[in-house]
Amino acid sequence: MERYSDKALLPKKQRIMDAHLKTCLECRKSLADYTTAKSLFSAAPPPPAPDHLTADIMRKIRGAAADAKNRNEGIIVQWWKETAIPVRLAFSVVCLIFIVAGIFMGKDLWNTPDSKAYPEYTELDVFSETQKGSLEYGYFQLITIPTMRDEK
Amino acid sequence: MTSAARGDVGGFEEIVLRHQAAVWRMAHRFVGNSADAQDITQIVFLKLFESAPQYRATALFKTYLFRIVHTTCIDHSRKKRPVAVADPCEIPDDAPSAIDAMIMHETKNGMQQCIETLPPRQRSAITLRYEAELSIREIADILKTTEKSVERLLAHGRGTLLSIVKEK
Repeated sequence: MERYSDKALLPKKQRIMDAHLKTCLECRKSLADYTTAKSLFSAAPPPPAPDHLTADIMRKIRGAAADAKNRNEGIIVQWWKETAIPVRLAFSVVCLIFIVAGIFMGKDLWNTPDSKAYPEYTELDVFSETQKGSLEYGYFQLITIPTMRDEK
Repeated sequence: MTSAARGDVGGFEEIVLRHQAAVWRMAHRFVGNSADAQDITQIVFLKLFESAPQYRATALFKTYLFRIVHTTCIDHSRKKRPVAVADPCEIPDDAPSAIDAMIMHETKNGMQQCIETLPPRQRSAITLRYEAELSIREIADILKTTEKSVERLLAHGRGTLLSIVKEK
């Protein structure tokens, strides 16, 4: 009956229903109920939405979008954005000092033993070129040579 | 929805403007008062925005939206018992006369009270059918049931609704 009222039936079935309705009192009543319910709804429509509804919705959406963005950015980016510019500058300078100091302090560790600068260590330079990537060579650079320097 | 999934709030505003009236009407029919209908409408669009990245255009957008409306209304009815309170502010401004306004107000209240007596699924089916004017197939998709089941829900709901209206 619902689909008949929607005219959603195939034309042939629609015609069959037309003919059936002429003879079936129960189906006519059902169709009348459907029409009555529909007219009751259209006779008493809900009030229009308040004018500020769109603004209220969009305020919530913007809040949700901002929250999602913050979640995606992570805590460091979020902190950076919320921090005042002088604090950001000070933080940047401190970071730069640490980086430069780290480079200067660590540069000896990266240098390979120099036989000209430390000729006394040449007898310890027992590693071949192929062994220079090994763990033992790293240990030699980081621990053995500085210890010998200190002892000297 | 694709732009909303990328977080484009401006693009989503178009969706809100296009569909908010339908969502509002459905919510108002379901709960029967403006304050709750407003809450439901806001929650529906918030859910829609948050689910945008997961949205796949496999079904009609309208069906997708009204499924959110339906679940939000059902959740609301579980949380809060409906209160059938007449809201005199809801008489349209363009009412031709005081008598007409009173008749309309009575019809509206009577109608709303009848809707609120229906069980939630019948109420959803009836509202989707007569307020949102969706087809049986669409309602079946929204309620995740068969078309036959929707027809039964509508028949029962309509029967209850009309018997109460006739009694009044």
